[in-house]
Amino acid sequence: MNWNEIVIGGLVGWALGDLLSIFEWAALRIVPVAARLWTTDADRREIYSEEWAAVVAERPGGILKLGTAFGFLCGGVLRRLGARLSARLDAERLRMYDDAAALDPILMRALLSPRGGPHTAVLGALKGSLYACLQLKWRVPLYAAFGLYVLIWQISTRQGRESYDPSADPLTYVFDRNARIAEFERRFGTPSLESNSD
Amino acid sequence: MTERVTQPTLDVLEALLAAEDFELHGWAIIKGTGRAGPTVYKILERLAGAELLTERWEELGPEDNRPRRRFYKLTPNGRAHARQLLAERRPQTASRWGRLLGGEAHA
Repeated sequence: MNWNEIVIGGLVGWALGDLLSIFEWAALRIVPVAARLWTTDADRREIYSEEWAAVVAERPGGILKLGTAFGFLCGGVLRRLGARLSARLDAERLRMYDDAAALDPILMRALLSPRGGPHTAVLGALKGSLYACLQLKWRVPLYAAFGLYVLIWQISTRQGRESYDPSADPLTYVFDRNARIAEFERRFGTPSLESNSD
Repeated sequence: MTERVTQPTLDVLEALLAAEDFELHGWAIIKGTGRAGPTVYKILERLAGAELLTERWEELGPEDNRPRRRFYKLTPNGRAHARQLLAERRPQTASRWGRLLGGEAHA
């Protein structure tokens, strides 16, 4: 072993010892951050800061102390993320309920109207698709537009629907079997079995 | 406690129950149960919230230069609840726990 190796060995040992005390120092600074992330209650933060520092102090060696502090930090981060996610989902759910409560009466009135046009079934199906596909911010104006469209359609065609005479509608003749029989009898009279036997 | 009873919860209850007249500090529970710190503290928080657990600070002398530890102990109600739960869920391990290291005589 020459002098160089002795010096390098000494330096490495000194650096390692210093590093371990830096780990210990860092661990004690991580713990209050972990406590802040863990809870929003100021009293509990104080309690956990000191208590977790005591837990960290129980661990032997700088690396284990740092590992324990990181464990608390990860727990705090996960808990904070979980709380945020949960709050966000709750808020989103509430907003959705509010929007649906505000907009559904318009749309449902249009969709459930007995005089709805042939597009009502399509709109009913679209409603489910919209919930699934669209973001809330686009769903709201689209809902409003659909609801208004259906209402305007109802109002604008009310006159025609109220004055509608089925007997005057050529389509009634095509689709109504009784109307066709009546028309046949008007033109050719009632068919008789006796005249066929002759 | 109306929440779901998990295995770590049973571990913590078992440790606290086994300590009997001793109070356990956080590290003793972590070490005894072999569970991660955050897991243990989440459970302790829940137990304290349900008033099944009491907690107090360690009293340090002026010569002690270290952070205070916090001691935990089941309330009589908590002990009854823990016994019932453990009898239902872990009847085979009733005498698994001895006196844990880190316990302190109940003041």
